[in-house]
Amino acid sequence: MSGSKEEEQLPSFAVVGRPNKGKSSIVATLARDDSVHIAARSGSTRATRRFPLQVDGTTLYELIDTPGMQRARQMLAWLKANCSDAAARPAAVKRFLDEHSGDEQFADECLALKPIVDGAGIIYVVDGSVPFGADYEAEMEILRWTGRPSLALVNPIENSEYVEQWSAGLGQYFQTVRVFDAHRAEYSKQLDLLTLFGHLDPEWQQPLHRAVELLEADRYRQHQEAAEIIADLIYEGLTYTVDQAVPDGAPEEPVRKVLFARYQRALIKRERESRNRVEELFYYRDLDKSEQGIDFAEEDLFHQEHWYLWGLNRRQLLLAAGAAGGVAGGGAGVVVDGMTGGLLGGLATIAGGIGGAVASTRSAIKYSDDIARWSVSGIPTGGNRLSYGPSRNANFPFVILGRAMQHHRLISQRTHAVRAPLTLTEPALDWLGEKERRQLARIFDAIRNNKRLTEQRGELKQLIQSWCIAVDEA
Amino acid sequence: MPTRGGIPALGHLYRLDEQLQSDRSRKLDDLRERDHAIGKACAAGDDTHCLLYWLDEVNAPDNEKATAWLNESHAALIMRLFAFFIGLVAMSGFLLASDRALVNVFLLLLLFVFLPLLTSLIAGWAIFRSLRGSPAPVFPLNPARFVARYALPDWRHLKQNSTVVRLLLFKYSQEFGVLFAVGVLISFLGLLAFNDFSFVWGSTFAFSDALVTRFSSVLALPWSAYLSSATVSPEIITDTRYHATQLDLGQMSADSRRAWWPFLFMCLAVYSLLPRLLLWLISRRSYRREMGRAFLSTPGASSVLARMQTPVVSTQAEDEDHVDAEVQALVCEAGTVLLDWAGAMTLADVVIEVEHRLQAGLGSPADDLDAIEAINRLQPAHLMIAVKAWEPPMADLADVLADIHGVSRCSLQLVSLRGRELGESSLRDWQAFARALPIPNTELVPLGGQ
Repeated sequence: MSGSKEEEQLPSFAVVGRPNKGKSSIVATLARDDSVHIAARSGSTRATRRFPLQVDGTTLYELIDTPGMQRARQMLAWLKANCSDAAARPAAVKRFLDEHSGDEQFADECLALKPIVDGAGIIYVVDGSVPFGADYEAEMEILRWTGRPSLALVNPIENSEYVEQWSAGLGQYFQTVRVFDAHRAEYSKQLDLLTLFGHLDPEWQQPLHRAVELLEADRYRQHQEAAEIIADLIYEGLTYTVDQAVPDGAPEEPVRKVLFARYQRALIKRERESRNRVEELFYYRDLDKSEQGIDFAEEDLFHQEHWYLWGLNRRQLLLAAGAAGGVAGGGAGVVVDGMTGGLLGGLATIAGGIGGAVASTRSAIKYSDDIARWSVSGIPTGGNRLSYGPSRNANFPFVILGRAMQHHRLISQRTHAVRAPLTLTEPALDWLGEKERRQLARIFDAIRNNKRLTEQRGELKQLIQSWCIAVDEA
Repeated sequence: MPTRGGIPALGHLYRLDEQLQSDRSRKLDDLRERDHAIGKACAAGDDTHCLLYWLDEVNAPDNEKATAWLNESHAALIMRLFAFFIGLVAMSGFLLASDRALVNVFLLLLLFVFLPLLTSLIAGWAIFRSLRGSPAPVFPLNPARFVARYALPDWRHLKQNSTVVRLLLFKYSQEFGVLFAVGVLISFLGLLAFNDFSFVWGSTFAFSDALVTRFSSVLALPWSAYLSSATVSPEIITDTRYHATQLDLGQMSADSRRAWWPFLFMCLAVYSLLPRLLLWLISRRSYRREMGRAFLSTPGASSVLARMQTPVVSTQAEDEDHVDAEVQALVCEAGTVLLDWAGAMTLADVVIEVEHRLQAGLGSPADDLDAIEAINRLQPAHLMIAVKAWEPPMADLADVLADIHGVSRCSLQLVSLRGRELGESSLRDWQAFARALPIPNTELVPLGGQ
């Protein structure tokens, strides 16, 4: 902490306790930081690490992860030997730190207690899956000696078997005792805990209240952005196509295979990108996950062959030929009109234009296949254009949606303390009502048919956003 | 690209789409900080202006393109003048075509009233369809395409915004239609002021005077109640009937011959100019509304607005973690990764010792993506790709390699079939393939086969 007066008044909370009782897990969850090293073996945290909540660069509060206290009884003995006056206990703790700052034996105790002596509140963490023991009383007593506001958290690491026992034991040393499962706590419970931190000291209430409001707004933004990412993914899934020109006479089968592979690869890649983006949105930096790829059925893909000549399809070619013939015929008609001194009143122009257009279109229909076989400098002028996609399978967008929503739900309900890989199973859209299914089917159909795209995308995004937000409310 | 009244232009859509696409590869933390900093500096009151401000901050317009001589506004000006001029010339040519100053009323109505009215109806139907979300095709020779060519920053097709592009074309084509009609009207009035035209009617069909009277009355319905001077009486109709063989017009009174012009003027104004004017206003308004909507609904735009408005909240540690665990080395000492394409190495008699050996080209595309992601994560100093030299380079491999980034050196290990040498044409194919790869410093290394 910096020495300025303003910063000294900032609320800070030192998370203390015995080694391997889930201190780092609680910090990882509250700080939404999956870079916190959480190890199965004890004593993996060897230094303090600060997690400030910053809003536009301004710190509102700070969480401090500390190493576990290992020699509490020895330290308490020293304190008792060096202090007989209850009023001098905080000063005694400070004196202990001053005298043992370079002492390797009490390095963990010094690191854990230093922020508390500097003004941090105490968050004492115990494991609710192991029984309460009197041997814990030494460290609780030391914490009481610091005179700082404190609360105790019972973290049921494996089960809740001894939570009640702990609650009773801790109640003798701490005014507030709460059960907080760092691996399973919903977001609302995380915010409740932060609110509770604010009640430790009246001066901390306001900044913590503001922090909670900002975190709620940030959460809303996360859902909002996630919904847009998912809606974009579905849109691309519904409209993505790949195509390739196949010159006249060239074999089509190898091109079909390459196109199919290209189509699959592009959509898989796009889906992975969106997954990574959603994880990044929820502050997961290096998440290990497993998900089965989408199963594409070649027959579901809308496969088309478009004839082309000079880069134009048949319809464009006929239009161009008709227009060119019309202009040429109309030009000739203008000359005839001019020669008759206007007596025909422009009829020659009209007749010439119509006749030219009809003749030219007819010729284009008749000879276009022959012209397509010509080649200019070895490059064929025409042939077939093969294309794959978009998928015609009515279920396909529902599959993409189901997978994306499952991923979003698991990510947003997961805490940053969890280190197990994220496993995405076969998603089910059973939470979707019949009315919503019909609404989605209508939207997907309209997007496929390129109708009212702006409105349909907006509607899809709104629907997804409401479901994303509902994950927190469930 | 001009912004009139704070309404985004088509160029903004392209720039926004381009920027949002490039933002996809940037870290979200960076985007949050950048966008919120812009948001704090932005004084705009609504989302459209906020987004325009943001766009100008992150992706300033290309001044060179904006100051090019032939841009959208100049192209539009040229076409406006052209449409007006064509209108003038068309009517002048029609009126002055006869050396006897005869004007066939039916032909005038057909060419300058009914034909424009028909095209207005078609344009109205096309605009209606576009507004209903099913953009209608645009005629290839539509002059508005010339302007649209300069309005579109590039030929990239923004599929989701086809309605906007269509409405832009409609807006310009209706404007040109209005100017054409104005040119026709001005020419009509101007020439009437200096010439003594004889407005007559006649047809090879045997239309009776009564039918023509009824026809003219129907046409004059919109104004006949308050502008009776712009109607044609039955007497005038009878008097101005004309046969091609009739050489002497002396029996027609001069007043009758001139009496048609107020009626014709009103026909031109009401059936040719007015619908165009209405369509122009509708398409202009629809274009602006649709453009605003499309701009705000560009994929990623609402996320930008959310980031601009939400403070950057950070709860993570500022320093790195202090883990005393061993860091697992991901790449071999030489920093080389081998990508075995389609199982080429199973046939090679050379063993390549690398710490990371990846497979691609045999399984599903998802497996290929796994391999690409691993390479992109490892970012090896040297990427070796073992390929079957006897096979031609496939687009499939090129597609996979196109997604690789961060590799500074790459070598294509050409595995030959046992007992066969690498053919010259194969080598040339692979050389051409290597040159086209997006990885710099790609070399070819022939390997012996089993």
